[in-house]
Amino acid sequence: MRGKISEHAAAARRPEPVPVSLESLDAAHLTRTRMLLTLGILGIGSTMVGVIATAFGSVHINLLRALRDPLSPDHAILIGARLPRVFMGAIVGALLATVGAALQALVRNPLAEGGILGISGGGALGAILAMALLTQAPAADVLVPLCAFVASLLSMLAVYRLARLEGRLEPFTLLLVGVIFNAFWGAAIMLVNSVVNFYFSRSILFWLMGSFEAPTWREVAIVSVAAIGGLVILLGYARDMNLLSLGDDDAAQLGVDIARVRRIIFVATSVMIGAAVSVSGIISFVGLIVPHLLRLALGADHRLLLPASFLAGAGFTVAADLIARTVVAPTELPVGAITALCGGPFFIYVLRREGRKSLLL
Amino acid sequence: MTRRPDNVALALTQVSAAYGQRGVLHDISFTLQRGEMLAIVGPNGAGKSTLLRVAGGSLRPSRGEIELLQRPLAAYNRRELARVLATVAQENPVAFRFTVLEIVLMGRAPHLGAFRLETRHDLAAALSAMELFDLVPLADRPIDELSGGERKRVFLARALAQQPRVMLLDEPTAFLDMRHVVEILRQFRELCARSGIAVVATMHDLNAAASYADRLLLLSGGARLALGPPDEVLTVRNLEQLYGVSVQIGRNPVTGAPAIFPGGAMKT
Repeated sequence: MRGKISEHAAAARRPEPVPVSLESLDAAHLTRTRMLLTLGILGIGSTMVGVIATAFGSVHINLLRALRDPLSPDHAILIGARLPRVFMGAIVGALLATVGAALQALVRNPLAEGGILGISGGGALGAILAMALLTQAPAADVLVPLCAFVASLLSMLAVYRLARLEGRLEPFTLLLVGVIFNAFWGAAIMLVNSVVNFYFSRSILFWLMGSFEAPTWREVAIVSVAAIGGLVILLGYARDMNLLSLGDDDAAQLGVDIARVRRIIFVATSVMIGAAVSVSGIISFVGLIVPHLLRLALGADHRLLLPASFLAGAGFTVAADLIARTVVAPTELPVGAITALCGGPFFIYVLRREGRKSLLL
Repeated sequence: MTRRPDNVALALTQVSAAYGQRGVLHDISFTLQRGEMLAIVGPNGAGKSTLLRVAGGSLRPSRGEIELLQRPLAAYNRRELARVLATVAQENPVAFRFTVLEIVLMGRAPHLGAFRLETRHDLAAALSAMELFDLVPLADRPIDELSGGERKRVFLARALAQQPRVMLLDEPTAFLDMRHVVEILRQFRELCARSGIAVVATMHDLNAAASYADRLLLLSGGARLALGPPDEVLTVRNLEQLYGVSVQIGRNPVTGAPAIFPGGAMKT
């Protein structure tokens, strides 16, 4: 018996460690080089999608003539319709994918996105009510998006207050309350839909399925401020999002002020979604599929995931919008229908292929 | 390490704690010297984990004083605290697929400013922690592909990468195989001696605790039953009172520490 124990003690003596260089660890964590390279590639890719989307549309335009001759109809279409639309698709897509990534970190669940937390549903209801009630108002084109924005913030406040138990924002409760609100707003929209006249029904569909039809440059600018400002704020908390993945106790003992970080992420994402919904309605799946695929390809570090989602979300949504406006031109499909139709099956495919691991993330 | 007041890493004075109305800790006092390793032992529900939570600042005591490095615990802000005190919980959930190295590097977070990536210095701290726990070959593996024991070592390495002065470990040797129990406890033993880190660890394995801890705190029903070196507190009387089973005490032939052999349940 004695001999056995000493043998174990001897076996446990460690061998001399082989020296390991710091560079050999580069593949296992986020380095500046990998970050810049990844973002560079995604940026170039999304820009290329943007150029293609600018060149093609329901009406053929000559890009060279449009740029050379400011009086040509090509120029008018490019500057007045095509470009704002591509930019709007890009910035809304960027925003939605970034918000998705941040919300998934917030609730520690890869199934979260703005739609699931009920925020965009509230915004859409606000827009629809404003449309139905304020038709005679002089500035309806400004009031409707404004109402959508305010309604999404009110919806956010309601979800936030109701999800708080004893002063703590629990991820699971938040997800549950959000899902319930999403269903509730959906029902309210259907209710409004069934009492307003046929003319409004079509506009209601616009809000429910999302569209980048005829945005103004001013709208593009407003959403850009929300998207870029939001990204910068969220990036400031990207490492805290990493730590939140370890659970509240571990994150707290590593110095994260959990209550504050949760509040900031929640408010920032809500304002971002509010801005997006107010101009383009509900576009689902972008916030789900883009961060998910990026996580599989790039790893979980939110310091890369957030800006990567921003760039890839832009490219993905511009491509979806290109399909939406060209595939059965001159009729337009709602872009939200395209993102869901392409995104859904692809998402399932990836989940199946990755098996159990991917579900766990 | 000599017992001097300025060598005190952690001091609890008459600390009590409760969850709601239910008192869980009663009047616990001890001081931990720099470089000392204290094992907290006791049956399930004795308040071991609660004691760690209170000492780590995540649960406010209902009564009593706690001083960390001669400064009241309540006077630390979160990040200051995270730079001197590291905790490893019993359960270590991870929501997304981080790599082993990424998790260990998270221990550097309290030392980093916002928007910062880890520097070579941070990487070196993570690497030396991983070397200590045999984790270098696993550096790029996703955390969810690891076994329970490997995962535990990752979190111990993360706490070490924090470069704290005091470490609080909840069941650090649970899930570990025999080789790693011995290795890890000895690593902590050496760390204590070399860098003056003070370690408090809850443990179920009395023999491991007796072999590696300087002192043992026996907790029973949230109160202190005994505190002292293994030889003094691991008595038949104490252990039978603590666990309600009859025990025999021999000697570990390698370390010379007391070795506990549980017998049957005692008649009450």
